[in-house]
Amino acid sequence: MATREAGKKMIMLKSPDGMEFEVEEAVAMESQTIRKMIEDDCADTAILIPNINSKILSRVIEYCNKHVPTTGATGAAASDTVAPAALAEDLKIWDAEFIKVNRATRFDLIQAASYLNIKGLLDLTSQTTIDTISDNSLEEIRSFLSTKNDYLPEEEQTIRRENQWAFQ
Amino acid sequence: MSRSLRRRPAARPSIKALSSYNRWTPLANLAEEEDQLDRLSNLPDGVLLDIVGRLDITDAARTRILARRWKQIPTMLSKILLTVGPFDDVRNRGLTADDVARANATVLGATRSMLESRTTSLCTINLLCVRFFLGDGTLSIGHTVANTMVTEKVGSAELTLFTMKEGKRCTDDDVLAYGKQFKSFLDACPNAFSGLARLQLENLRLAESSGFPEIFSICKRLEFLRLFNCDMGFLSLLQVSHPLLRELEIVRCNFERVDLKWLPKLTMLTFSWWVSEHDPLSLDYVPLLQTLSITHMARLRHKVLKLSEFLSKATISELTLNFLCEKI
Repeated sequence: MATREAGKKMIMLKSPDGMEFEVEEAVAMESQTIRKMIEDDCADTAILIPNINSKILSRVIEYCNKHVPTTGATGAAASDTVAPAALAEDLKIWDAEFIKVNRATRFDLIQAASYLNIKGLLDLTSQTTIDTISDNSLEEIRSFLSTKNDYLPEEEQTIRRENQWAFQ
Repeated sequence: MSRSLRRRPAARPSIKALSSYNRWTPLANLAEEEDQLDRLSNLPDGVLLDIVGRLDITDAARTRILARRWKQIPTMLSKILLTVGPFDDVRNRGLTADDVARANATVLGATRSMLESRTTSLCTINLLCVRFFLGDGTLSIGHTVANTMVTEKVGSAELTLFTMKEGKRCTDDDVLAYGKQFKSFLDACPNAFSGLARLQLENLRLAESSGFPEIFSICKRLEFLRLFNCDMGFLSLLQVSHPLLRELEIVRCNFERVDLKWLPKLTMLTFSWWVSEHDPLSLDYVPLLQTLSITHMARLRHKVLKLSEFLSKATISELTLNFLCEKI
């Protein structure tokens, strides 16, 4: 776990399975959800992060740790413009490695990024899904996501008719 | 918006071992098998909405057909951008009436399925932006938009109206005809305009009796207006008074002069390409006007523009001049 560095305020994050992560406040504040808790003074001792297990939470923290120094306190989106090109390139490579995970983990990360409101991580983790939806037919999307079509035939017809414009 | 050619499905991303260091968990989850659970659909609404919100509106609408779980998700979107396409390009449209009718039919279908099927009034629309053609279907789109603006809370609404012909191909008859079409649309559907924050119009010649002042009085919440190739007759006079208007763009309009009479909130003005031989612009009450951008190429008959006289009543902090001539 992290060691306390002089002069840096630390925050304790707890996962529902009982693990505790001590992180710098600045790192934790990459999450807009946590930032709000801290700013609203709801974060004096430890913050319980519901629905995100320690395995996923540790990866989220890893992401925030990597992204915090270049973005400063203003949010993840700034990294591309603020950081020198080399640094941005390094981050891109790092991100590409970071996202090489299996599907289950990727969806867990999407959920975590959405709940914790970390825009950069959500962009990164949802890109594959977005590409899949944009580039494929409905059948292919269903098979990729393992989604079962549970519409009755007549229901599907109605909803298709309603959205016919999207197929032209 | 049409997508006649779909790319072949992308190859499934392969799963490789994570090689980067992992400061927090040495036991990263690398060996797990791909499972057949529909993990995405099991995530909360907010997560699905995050994903659908990153898709273009056509793809977002298509997800409604995947399964029941997805049906309502796109109707909760807070930003809705519905636009005819790919005709947005101002130059060289080369459209036929059929193209216009088809494009508007698509936008109408989109407005209906994305706006009328919204059941949850919990999800407010932060941004509603609709761009379509004057012509077949205009009124039906207008009514759908108007209904939405009346029944739902819409943060910021924008309408952009295109004409079939682009500006440089429009004859006097064309702009007159478009002007009449616009006027009957405005009369039939004032609710589509009354709540607008942004409005963009092009190629309209409106009657001098009602004209643009009528638009200013109906669009009470207007903050941004762009007029391209619009007038109320060749060398007509436009007087502008509006309590909220912040940004005004007047480009290639055949006004003799534009009087900015009373615009207490106006901060930005873009004024380009005029025909008048005299001063084309007069600034009366524009106390907050900060950014002024003037572009022009004068012909011989044009009068020399005296900037100091012109700007004496304004406190401009940023002035962009782009004159392709020396008449200034």
